[in-house]
Amino acid sequence: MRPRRVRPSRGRERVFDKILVANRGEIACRIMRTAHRLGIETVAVYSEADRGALHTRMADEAICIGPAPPAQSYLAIDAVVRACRETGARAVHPGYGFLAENENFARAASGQGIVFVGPEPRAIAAMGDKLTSKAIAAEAGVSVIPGHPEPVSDPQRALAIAREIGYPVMLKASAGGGGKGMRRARDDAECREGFERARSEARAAFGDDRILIERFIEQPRHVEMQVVADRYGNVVSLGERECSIQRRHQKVIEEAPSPFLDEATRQAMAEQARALARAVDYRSAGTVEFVVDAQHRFYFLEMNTRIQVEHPVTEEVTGLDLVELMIRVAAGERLPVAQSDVTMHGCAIEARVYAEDPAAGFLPSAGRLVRYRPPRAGRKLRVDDGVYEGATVPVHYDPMLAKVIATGATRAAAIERLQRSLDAFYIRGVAHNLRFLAAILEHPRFREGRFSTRFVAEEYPAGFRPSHGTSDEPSTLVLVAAYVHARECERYDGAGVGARRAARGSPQQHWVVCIDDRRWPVAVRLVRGGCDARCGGREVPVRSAWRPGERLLRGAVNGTSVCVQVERRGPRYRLARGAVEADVTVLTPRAAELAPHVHGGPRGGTARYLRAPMPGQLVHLAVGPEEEIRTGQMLAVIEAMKMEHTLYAETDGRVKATFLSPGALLAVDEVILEFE
Amino acid sequence: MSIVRDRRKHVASLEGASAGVWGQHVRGRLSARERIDVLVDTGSFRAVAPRSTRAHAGLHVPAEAVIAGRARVHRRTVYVYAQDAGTGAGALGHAPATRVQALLTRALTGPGPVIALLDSPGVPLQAGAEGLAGHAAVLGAQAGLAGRVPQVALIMGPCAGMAALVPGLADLTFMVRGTSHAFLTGPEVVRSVAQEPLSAEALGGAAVHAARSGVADGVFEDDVEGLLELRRLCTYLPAGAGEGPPRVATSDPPDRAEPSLETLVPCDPRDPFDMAELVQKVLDEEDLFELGPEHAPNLVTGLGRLAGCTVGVVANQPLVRAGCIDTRGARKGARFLRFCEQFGLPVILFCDAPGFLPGSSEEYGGLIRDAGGMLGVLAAMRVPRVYVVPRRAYGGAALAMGIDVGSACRTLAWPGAEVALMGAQAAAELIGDRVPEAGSDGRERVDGVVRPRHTRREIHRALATLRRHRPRRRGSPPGARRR
Repeated sequence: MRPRRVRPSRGRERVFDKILVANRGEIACRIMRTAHRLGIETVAVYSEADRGALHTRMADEAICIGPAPPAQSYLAIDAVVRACRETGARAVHPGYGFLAENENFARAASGQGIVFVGPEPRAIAAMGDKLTSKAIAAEAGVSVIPGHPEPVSDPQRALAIAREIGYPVMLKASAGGGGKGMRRARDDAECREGFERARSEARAAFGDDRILIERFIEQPRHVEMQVVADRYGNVVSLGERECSIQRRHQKVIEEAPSPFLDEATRQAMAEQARALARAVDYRSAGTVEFVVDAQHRFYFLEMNTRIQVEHPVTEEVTGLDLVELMIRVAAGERLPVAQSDVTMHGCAIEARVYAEDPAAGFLPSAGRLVRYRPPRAGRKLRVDDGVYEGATVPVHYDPMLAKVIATGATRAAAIERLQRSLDAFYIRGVAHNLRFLAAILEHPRFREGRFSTRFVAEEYPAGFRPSHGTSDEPSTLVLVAAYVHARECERYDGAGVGARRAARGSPQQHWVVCIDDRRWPVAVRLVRGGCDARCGGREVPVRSAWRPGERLLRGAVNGTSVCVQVERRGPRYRLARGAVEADVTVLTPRAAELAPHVHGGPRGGTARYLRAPMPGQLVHLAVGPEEEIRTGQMLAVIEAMKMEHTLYAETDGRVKATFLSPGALLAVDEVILEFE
Repeated sequence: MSIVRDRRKHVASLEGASAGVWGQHVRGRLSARERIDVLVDTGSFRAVAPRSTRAHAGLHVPAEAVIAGRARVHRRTVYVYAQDAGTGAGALGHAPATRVQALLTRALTGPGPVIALLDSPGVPLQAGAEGLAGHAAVLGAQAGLAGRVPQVALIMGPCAGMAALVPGLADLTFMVRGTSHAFLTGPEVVRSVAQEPLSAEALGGAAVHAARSGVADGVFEDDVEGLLELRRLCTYLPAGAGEGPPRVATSDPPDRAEPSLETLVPCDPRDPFDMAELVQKVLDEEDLFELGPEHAPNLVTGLGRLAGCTVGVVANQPLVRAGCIDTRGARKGARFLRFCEQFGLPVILFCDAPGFLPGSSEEYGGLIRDAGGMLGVLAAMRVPRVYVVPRRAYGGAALAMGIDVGSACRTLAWPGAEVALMGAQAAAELIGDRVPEAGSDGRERVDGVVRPRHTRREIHRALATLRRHRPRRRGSPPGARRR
C-alpha cells in the first residue's frame, strides 16, 4: 500500500500491538501492509492448503487453523478466536468474505476481549438481512425499489399494485431464484398475462405460486457509496464506485468515480448513504450499494458491512487508507477526516485478475503458478496480489490472483495505463482472464461509459475467446512476429554480432507471417535496436531491444509503444497483446507458397469420455445411458471452488454409459460418462 | 475455407504439370524438391553429382527417384536426401541408392548431420532384386556412419519393408501425423499370416510409433511443420563426433536465479511434481526439444542448451508412473544417452527415482537387462554428467540412473533430498523401528547441496569444472576430428 495523501500517524503510540488477519490471499496481504506501516505486528492464519502462501510469509507470525475446506478453517469461529488468544493478538481484521459479515464472530471476538475491526454486531445483523435492511433504509429516507412488500396471489390485486408502482414492473416468484417464474410487464395486458405465466411457472418450480411485484429497472448500473463512521457520530462518505461490469454477479472491473453519475445524483446518493450509516449507528468502513437506472434514479440494494474487494479505487482517488481508518476507528479513535476534507483527484480503475478460463464459461483454474510476473507498480499503478511465482492456487477458495489499479487524470488515461499494465502481466500454469479484461477495456461501449450490469452477458453471451486479430490490416502483432522471427534466425545463423553489420543493417529479408489462414508478406531489414519493416506498401519502423528468449517484447511499432508477450511453441510463436492472442507462423515466401497444400491426416476422433475438468463434487447428472445428446446440451454439473460449473456437450452424439452418480467426489480427468 | 478453395484451384492448375507434384499435393503432401526447399536455407542446396548418369540396361528405377545433396540449415552444413514418390515410386533402386551412398560417404568429409526425408510406397516388384542391392548399399553406408555423424530420418509417407530399416538405423526418427506409415511387414501380410486385420495407420501410423513402439521421437502435424521443426533440431545437433556441441548466442545469463523452484517439491512426499518445469527453468530460454514425449513419458529425454551449448537432458517425471524406471523408459534413456556420448553432448540428469516399476509385466519384459543396459551406457560415459536430485534417489533405481557410477559426474542435491537405499519411512516399516534420520547415509554420495533457485548456476559451474578435467578418450572413432 502506497499512501499518497494519507495523514501520517502523527507520532502517536501504536493503535494496537498486534493484529490478527482472519483471511487469506490479497486482502490479507493488503491489510498487513497497512498494519506494518502503522507499526502493528501481524498474525496470519492459514489452512493446510495455504501452507507457504504469501500472506503467511508476510505476517510476523502465522498459525495453522485447520484443514483446507473453509468451514473447518477460515470460517471456523472457534479456531480463529483461539488463534487470537494463543498469539496474543489484540484485534482481528476479517477482510472480506469468510467471517467478515458474521455477527457471531464479531460477538465471539468481543467476548474474549479482542477488538473486531469492523462494525458492531448489531449493525452487521441489521444489514445482513435483506428485508430488515430494506425496512431500515426506507425508514431512514433512503430510496428503495418501488414495490409491494407482500406477495400477491390475486390477478386483480396484482394489476392494481402494478399501476401503483408504475410500469415497467417485474413479477417474480416469492419463493424463486435462478430466473424461474420471472416476468417483465410494460403495461396492463402484459401484466395480466405475465402474472398467470409467472404463477404457473412458480407453482411448477417451487410449489408456491405467490408473486412479488416491484419496479423493473431498465439498464441497471451498480453504483456503491463508500462510507466511514466512528463511534462519535462522525460519518463521512468517500465517493462512489461504479461496479457494473460483472459476470455471473461477480464484479470484474470497478472504477471511481462513476462515468455515469451527475453531481446532483452523487450528492443525493452520498447523503442517503450517510443517513443509512447513522440509522444503524455504523462504526467502521462500509458500502451502501445502489442500483441506478437510465434516468439516474437510484435505489438501495444492500449495505456491505466490511471492506470491499474494490476499495482501492476509492483509496486512489481520495488518497485515504481505508484499512487504516478501520483500524483507528476500531481502536476508538476519532475519524481523522471530516467530510469537507475529502477531495477526489482523477480517476482510478481496477481490474480483477482471476485464475479462470473465460473460454470455458469462466471455469476456475487451480494449480501451480509456473510463471507469475505482475506489472511493476508505480506512482499511478498499484498491484494488490496475494500470490507469487511458484505459489499454488488451491481449489478450495476464490480464484482471484491480483487486482491491478491504474490511476489517471482522466478516465481515458487510467484505462490506457491499465491496458498497458495488463499487457505486461505474464501468467503461466493456470488459465487467466487477462485477455478478457483487455477486451472489455478496449470495448467502445466501455470506453464511452455506455454499459449496464448486463454488459458481459450481452457482449459475451457464449463466454470469451481471445481474438486472433480481426482486421485484415497488418496489425502490430504481424510486424512484431516478423521482427521476432528475424532476430531468432539471425542468432541461429550466428550472424548479426559484428558492429559494422549492425550499423549498416542486414540485407532485406522476406518473410510471410501466417495467422490462421491469413498471411502477410513482410520485408524486414534488421538495424540496431529494431528493424524497418515493409508491409502492404508501408514502411513501418519497429524499435525494441528484445532478444530471443525474452517473454515480453517492449518497444515501439510505428512510434506507438507496445508490450507484446512472446512465447515460443515449437515452430510457432504465441503472441499476446490486448484482447488478441494468436499462434503465429513465420515462413519463407517459398514455404508460404507451399503451406496451403499440406495437411496432416485426420485427427483422432472426438473425445470419447466426459471428464471432470477440475476436482470437485458431482452435483447433477443431466443425462442417462442411451440418451441422444445435442451440441451445447447440459451434461453434468459439478461443484468446485464454491461454485457450480456446468459441463456441456461439444458434439452431437449418444451417451453410452454413465459411471458416477450425484454426490460423487471427482478427481481431475475422472471419467463421468462415456459417449458412443 | 480459403485454403481449401486455394487447394482446389492449385490442384486444377497442376493438371498437365508434373504428375508427381500433383499426386503429392492431392494427398496433402509436398514433393521431394519442395520439401528440400522448405528444409534448407534458400538457395543453399547443391545436388551431389551421381557417379554415373548412364542408365544401366534392365534397371527399373531412375536415379531421379531420390534427390540428394549438400545444403545448409541455419548456415550449418547438412546432407539431405529426399525420396520422390512421383518418380520410380521413390524407391531405392540401384541408381538412386548409388546417389545416396555417395552422399553418405561425403557426409564424413566436411562433417554434418544426415537428414533423410522418406516417402516411398516401396520397390516395384519387377525391380525386386535391384531394390535389395540398393537397400543393402544404403543401409551399409548408414551403419558405417553410425556414431560419426548424427542421422535424422523424417518419415513423410509410406516406409515399408526393407526401407523401414533406414529409420531403424537413424539416430532420431520423426513422422508426420496421418500421412506416414512405417512397418517391416505390411498390413496385407499381417492380415493373411497373423490373422490381424489392421489398417496401415493402426499397424505403423505416427501415433503407434510415437506412443507404443517408440520408433518415432516426435510427430508433426504436417509436412511444413515437420520440416520447420527439423530446422530447429539442426541448431542443436553437432556436425559429427568429436566436433563438440554447437553453440548458439543467447542473452539468458547462466546465473539466472529461479526463486519459484523453492516451492516445486511438495510438502507431502507422496505428491508428485512436474519435473518438466524444473528442466525448463534450468535450460536456456526455457527451451527443451523433447524427444519421444509420448513413449515412456515417465522418463523425459531431450535436447536443450546451457549457456548457449547443446546439452542432453534425461529426467524422471514423477507425474507419470511416479517417475519409476520401466523397460520402455530404460530403453529410451539408454538409446538417448548413447547418442549424447557418441556426439560429445554433456548430459544433465534430473533424478527423482523412487524405484523400478514393480510387476510381472516389467520383470517378464526384461527390466533387468534394460535397466542394466542403461547403467552400462552411463558407466562408460566420458561426456560430463551432472545429476540434480530435487527430492529422492533410492537404491537400485538411483544406480540405474548412474548416480555414483562411472567418471566425470557430479551430483547436486536440493536441501532435504535423499540419496539413499530407500525412503526413511519405508525403511522404518521394514525394520520395524523408528524413522532413521532422513538422507543420513546419502550425504557422502552427493557433491554439493544447492539451493533450488541456484540450480541453473550450479549446473553450469559443475559442467564447466567437468569439462576442464575431462578424461581423455581412449580412442575417437576413425575419421572424426580431434580437438
